[in-house]
Amino acid sequence: MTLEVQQLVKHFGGVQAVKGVSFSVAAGECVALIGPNGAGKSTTFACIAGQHPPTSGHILWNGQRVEGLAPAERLRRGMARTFQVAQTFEALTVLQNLQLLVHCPRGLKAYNVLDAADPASALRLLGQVGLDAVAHLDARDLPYGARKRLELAMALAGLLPQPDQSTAPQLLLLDEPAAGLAAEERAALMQLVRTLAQTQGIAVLYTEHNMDAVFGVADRVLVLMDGLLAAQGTPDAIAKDPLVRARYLGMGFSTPAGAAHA
Amino acid sequence: MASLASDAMILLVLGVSLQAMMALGGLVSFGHAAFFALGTYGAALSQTVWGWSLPGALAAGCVASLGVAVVLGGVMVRSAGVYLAMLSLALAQVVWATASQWVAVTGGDNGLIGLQLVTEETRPVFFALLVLVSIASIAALRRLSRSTLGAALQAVRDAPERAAASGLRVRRVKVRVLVESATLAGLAGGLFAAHKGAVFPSVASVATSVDALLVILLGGLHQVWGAVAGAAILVWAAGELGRGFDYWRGALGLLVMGIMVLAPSGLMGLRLPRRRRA
Repeated sequence: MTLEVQQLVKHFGGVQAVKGVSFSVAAGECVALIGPNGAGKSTTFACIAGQHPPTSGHILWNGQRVEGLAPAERLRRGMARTFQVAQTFEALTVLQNLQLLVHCPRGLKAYNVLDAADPASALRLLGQVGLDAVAHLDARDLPYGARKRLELAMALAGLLPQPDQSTAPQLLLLDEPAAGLAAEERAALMQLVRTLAQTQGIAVLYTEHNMDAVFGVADRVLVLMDGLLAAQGTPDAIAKDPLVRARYLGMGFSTPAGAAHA
Repeated sequence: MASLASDAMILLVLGVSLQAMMALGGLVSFGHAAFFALGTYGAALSQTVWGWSLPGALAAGCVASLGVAVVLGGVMVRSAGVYLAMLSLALAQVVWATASQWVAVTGGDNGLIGLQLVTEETRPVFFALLVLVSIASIAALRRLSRSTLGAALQAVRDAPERAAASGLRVRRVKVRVLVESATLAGLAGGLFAAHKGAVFPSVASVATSVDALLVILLGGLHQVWGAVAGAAILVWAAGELGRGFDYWRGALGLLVMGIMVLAPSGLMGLRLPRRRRA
């Protein structure tokens, strides 16, 4: 058990967005956080990702509380994230985006030439997300689907083992990874995320609105409603859950064709 | 002629200092004259009070700018965009008010005159120094734009949340470029005091800040050689155009408007497209 959310509560003024949510995500597990608009899933995600301090409750990563830690410190402990709208460094090439992040822990200097900074590691990451063919394009010229992939690689760059630490457990927090993508792009990206979790033992927690990016991908699904965890379980169990069908998926919902995985 | 070239080179160094933080770091300043003026008064006072010669005076000018940038930098970079621009403008006004009203130290509107930082014998050496500093500052900007630090600046400018989530120390990177930029502006100020032999509160005026902006906007914010073109045009316009034409600043304003509309990436941006950017 590596990520643990304990009785998370978040109020915005008089609005109780999250009213006491507890769950956990284990290493190598791919967990989807879904729910209707206003159910509190974005707030829950933002608290875990460190954007909002929780009103009460704890977030433990690897047994240690991480609420209130600076982004750099969270990353050092192996917690990486992406954003709902992909954010990349537009003025740099795709390869330079990653070279900068790979090099960054070693200190930034005005006399270290960026193009000489460890292109091998950066290229390896690009290969992982299937962007090696566009390595020398400016990030601003990429189509949106490719920028989503680049941002995923940028998050992974932050999880590369550093010289001063042994391989720590790793967590990827993905804020709507498939948003804005066409159906084929969505399937390919989610397959990539799933492979990362399985082959590298990364714990993945993601929020999502597209059900074909949830069923057939996630090992476990958490359903938030009205600020509370309404249901959790395997995708199959969630698809059959009467409350979830009535309140969110719709009574006519069936898992996307061919999505059921072993 | 040599005097005009000296004016242009000093303006060039001031322009490059602003270009480093504005083009790479996205830190817009409408008050870069603050750091320039601190450099001029630092250099001038080091001679009038302690009798320092050129090297010490230039160092004093740099230290004055650097000191203020270190103290205020952390607060300034909390703001961005137009708020940072207004904050920098306010700082320049404070420096200007101090220079014109703290008469006992700065001489007020009479300024500090009769500086002997450069004599007739040493003027050729000083000119060589100006050439050297100009070349070095352009080379440094070019180097910075291709370095890991320069990439971090652009990263922080374009996607601050992503940069922070990826472990880049956003504020530290911004403060660092602000301090380095201020120090170079202070050096330009010291060189100005040495070149003119006198300093007046006008070095901290809005006009000086605008000159620094014009230098890089005329030549092109993202062009490595932009400041060279901008400084040359501005000094030529002031010297030649200004001689027979009272409204040269107005004419220059129209020219700048024309350039912003017709060539938004500056005059140097009109050369071959897709050249290496600063």
